[in-house]
Amino acid sequence: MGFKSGQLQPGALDLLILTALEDSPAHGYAIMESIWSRSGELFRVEEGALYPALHRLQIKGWLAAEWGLSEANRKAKYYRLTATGRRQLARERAGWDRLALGMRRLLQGE
Amino acid sequence: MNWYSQRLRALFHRDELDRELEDEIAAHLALKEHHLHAEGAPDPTRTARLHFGNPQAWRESTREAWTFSALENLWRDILFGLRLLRKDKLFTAVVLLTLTLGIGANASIFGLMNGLLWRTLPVREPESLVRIVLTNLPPTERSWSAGREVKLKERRQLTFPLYETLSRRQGLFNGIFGLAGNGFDAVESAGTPYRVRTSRVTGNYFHVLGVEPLLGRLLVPSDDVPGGPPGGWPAVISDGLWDKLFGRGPHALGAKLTVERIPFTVVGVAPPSFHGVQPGVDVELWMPLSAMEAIYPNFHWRTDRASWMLQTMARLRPGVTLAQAQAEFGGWARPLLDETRDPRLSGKDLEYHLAMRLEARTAEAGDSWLTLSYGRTLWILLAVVGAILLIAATNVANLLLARAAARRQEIAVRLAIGASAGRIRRQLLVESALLALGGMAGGVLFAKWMTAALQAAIAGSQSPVRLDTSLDFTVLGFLCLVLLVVALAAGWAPAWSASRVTMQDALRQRSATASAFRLRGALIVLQTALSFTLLGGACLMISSLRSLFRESTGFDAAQTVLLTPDLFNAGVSRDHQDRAYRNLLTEARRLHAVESASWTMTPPLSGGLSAFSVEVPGKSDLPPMQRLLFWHQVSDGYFSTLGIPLRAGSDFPSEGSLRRDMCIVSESAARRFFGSPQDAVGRRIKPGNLDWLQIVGVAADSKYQHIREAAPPTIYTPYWLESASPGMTLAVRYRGDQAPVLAALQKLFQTEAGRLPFVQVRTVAGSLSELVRTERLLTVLLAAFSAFALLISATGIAGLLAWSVQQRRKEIGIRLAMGAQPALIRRQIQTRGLLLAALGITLGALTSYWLRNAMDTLLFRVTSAAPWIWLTAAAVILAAALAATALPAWRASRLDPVDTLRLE
Repeated sequence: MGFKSGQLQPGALDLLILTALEDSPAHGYAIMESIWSRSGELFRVEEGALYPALHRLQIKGWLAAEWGLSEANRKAKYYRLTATGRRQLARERAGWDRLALGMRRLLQGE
Repeated sequence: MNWYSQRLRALFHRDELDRELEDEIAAHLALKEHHLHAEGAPDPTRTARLHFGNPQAWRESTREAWTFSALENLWRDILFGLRLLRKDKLFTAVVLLTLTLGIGANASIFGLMNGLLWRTLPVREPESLVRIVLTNLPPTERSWSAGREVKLKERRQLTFPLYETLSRRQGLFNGIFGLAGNGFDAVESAGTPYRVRTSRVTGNYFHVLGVEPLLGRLLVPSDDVPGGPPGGWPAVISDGLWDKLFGRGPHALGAKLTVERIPFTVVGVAPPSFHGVQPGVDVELWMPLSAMEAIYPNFHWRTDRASWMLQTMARLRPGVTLAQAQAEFGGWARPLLDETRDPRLSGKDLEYHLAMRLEARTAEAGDSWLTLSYGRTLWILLAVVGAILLIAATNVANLLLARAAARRQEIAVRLAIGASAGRIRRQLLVESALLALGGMAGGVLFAKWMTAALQAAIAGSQSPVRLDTSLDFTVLGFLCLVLLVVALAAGWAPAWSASRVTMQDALRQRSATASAFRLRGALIVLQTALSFTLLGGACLMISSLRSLFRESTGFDAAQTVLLTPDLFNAGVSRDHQDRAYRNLLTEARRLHAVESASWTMTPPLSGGLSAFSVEVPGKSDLPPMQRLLFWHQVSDGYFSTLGIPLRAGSDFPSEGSLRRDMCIVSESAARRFFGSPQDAVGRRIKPGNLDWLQIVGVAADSKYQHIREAAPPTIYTPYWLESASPGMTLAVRYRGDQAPVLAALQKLFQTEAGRLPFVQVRTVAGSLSELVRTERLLTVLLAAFSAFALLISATGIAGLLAWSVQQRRKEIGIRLAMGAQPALIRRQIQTRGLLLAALGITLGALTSYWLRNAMDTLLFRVTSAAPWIWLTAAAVILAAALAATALPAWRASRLDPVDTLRLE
């Protein structure tokens, strides 16, 4: 069934969005899909959580947005990582890796 | 785009962002539909929307990301609050007025006190300044303040020899300086005469204080030498005098002035913030101390070891604490005092002299004699306005409580349609804050006005007092404290009561609990108690003031005017002074409207008079204190001019047959030494260092210092035979109107001196009202404040009863329907009101009893124990309470049972 965004750790949603945008800019729907598929259909982010988060990250200066054309030749708003966003992604990823490592050691008694 | 521009865009281009968001949502839905369609979902459009959830909800939460939502909510609360306050005009007006008065009065009094007592001097490192005083003064030393003998705890002046010896001691201080005088001198600049407040200071005054000149230079030690520096006497003027005399022009430097007919050269201007070291005493001109030798050639202060004339201050060396200085001083005092002792001292007097202690006291706020005269008055006023603030705050609390009760339904409805409790609390808080800020703003304006009025009222016309009352951190801190008191006192009750509102309660309009009545009742009891105390205080002050005005001064001088001409500065040299005085008296007596005229050394009720011990044959067993006589020089005709009856013997004869050994004593002196006025005539006494005098007459008692004093035993000696002292006063008894007599006398002065001298004009009645100025001020303020307090208490009682009748109208209606007498209902309601007032009076009586000693020091011929005062105050309060209860009681008794029962 997977996790809903409300069940995620605080800060995790931001990291998911940043990761989804790491390779190329994308619009909201694509970000949703990308998170769904890349997490092996574990994480499902609803629109009600995604859009406020996108706007919040935009205000923080981690994302920038511009209007462009989507695959179906429709107008869509494309988000991309800014330089700050990229730095932030690196930082958060390192943090998560350490957290995940620590959790795994504890839980599996390595 | 950075954070701020994003948000500003959000604030100002809300529509644009909204549109963009709509587009984004539409695009999202379209994409989703497209994908679902591709996957072959049955109804892509519907599924897309279904999965989407409630777009309105996340539209809102997205919006919040780019708005100042907290600020916007606050702004909305403020607008809503303002709208509510505007709607409830009477409530708002009463609260604002109450707070304005309470806060304003406090800010004003505190500002004055701060200016007088606490504001640090505008000099370098004021905290290391100390003033040097003598303590443990000889028990034989007597001094009077406002007509009452007071025991001085410290002497603020040293003799010049003591100062000089002290300043040679090194180690403790980084400089020590002295100053003398703070009176008005006659200054002439470019032919125009002025009265200017001057200070004579030692040469290092400005240097030790660390004051920098605004223009030119300040005084230096080489200015302060006997005979003056080579270039003549220098003077430093204040910024104000620079403006007055020279219009702030640079030509002030080097300008010539004469001060008491001695030439001076202006060498510099002091900075605008600097007015000397005595708060309230606005010095306009500083001259070297040595210049006093030129101005008063007969005053040998430099060597006089008995003249305590130099106020002394010093700056502690860095690292030396006040306690260290104090400790070291302990060892210095005796040798210093011994070294500079008056050689005439012997026996016990010498012992007393050597037993005095030198002490250093902190002087960061300066050292003003005004603290002696007005400090206590200001403290009393602060207590009074503090009570007013408490009354104002409790009144606001009461009104807010009443309002909260009335708004229970509104709040309940808002809770019911989904407002959070926090939101409601915040709304109520914003409303209170708006009221407090409004009251504060009004208070600051009111304080400004009141301060100006008080400064004028405290000082009178003779010696203006100018205290720096501008805002500083102390005043700001105090204002914050006041705001806190108001917020706490006014805010806790409504908040407490609001927190108990539940939706069901309020919607069902359940009547308020008895506890709310008790709470508001307690506030009213407190108000009534304070009103009672203030009212009693006002009654005491009024009674005291009436006694002061009724008290016999010993003069019958309704038709007598007293003129003190400054002949010297108008051109009469000291050698010609006696002749001028003689001529003037002769001329004045010739004037048509003049009945009699006389010169006198001390005008009635003017304050100053010297005293000495006399030897009386057969009375040598009386202690010196009992043989003290006040000394007064007058010319013949004095007693008839001032309307002092002679009890025995006769007045001084006219100048021709005057003998050097004649004197007249007052009735109280005659009774003390000789038993009766008749027995005193012809007897001899020997005052101090003078020769034996023979008593030729006994005059009725009269008062020279203050109306409060007991008739002072006085000795009058004939004026003509002593060398004339400057500043004699011409007393003139006239017929008809005063104005033509004054004009004629002014003309005489002008003819005699060559030009019109400065003349101080007084009357006995005028001096009396000047003397009781502070009492009058206190009386007026107390009366006004107690009227205000009474009004608040009465309206409080009326409001509370009206509310309680409103709450109980069902019960009252039932009782009326059952046949209860309306009169009984009325009586019950009124009893409730009177009970509150009675409780308040009891509490107030306890407070007043606790304050009785502080009150008594202010009173004259009435004490705070006078029962009729308190009975009057109690009667007034009860009458006000009765009047306040009348309307609600009448309303209650007129309730229509049918109406009230139908309400539910």
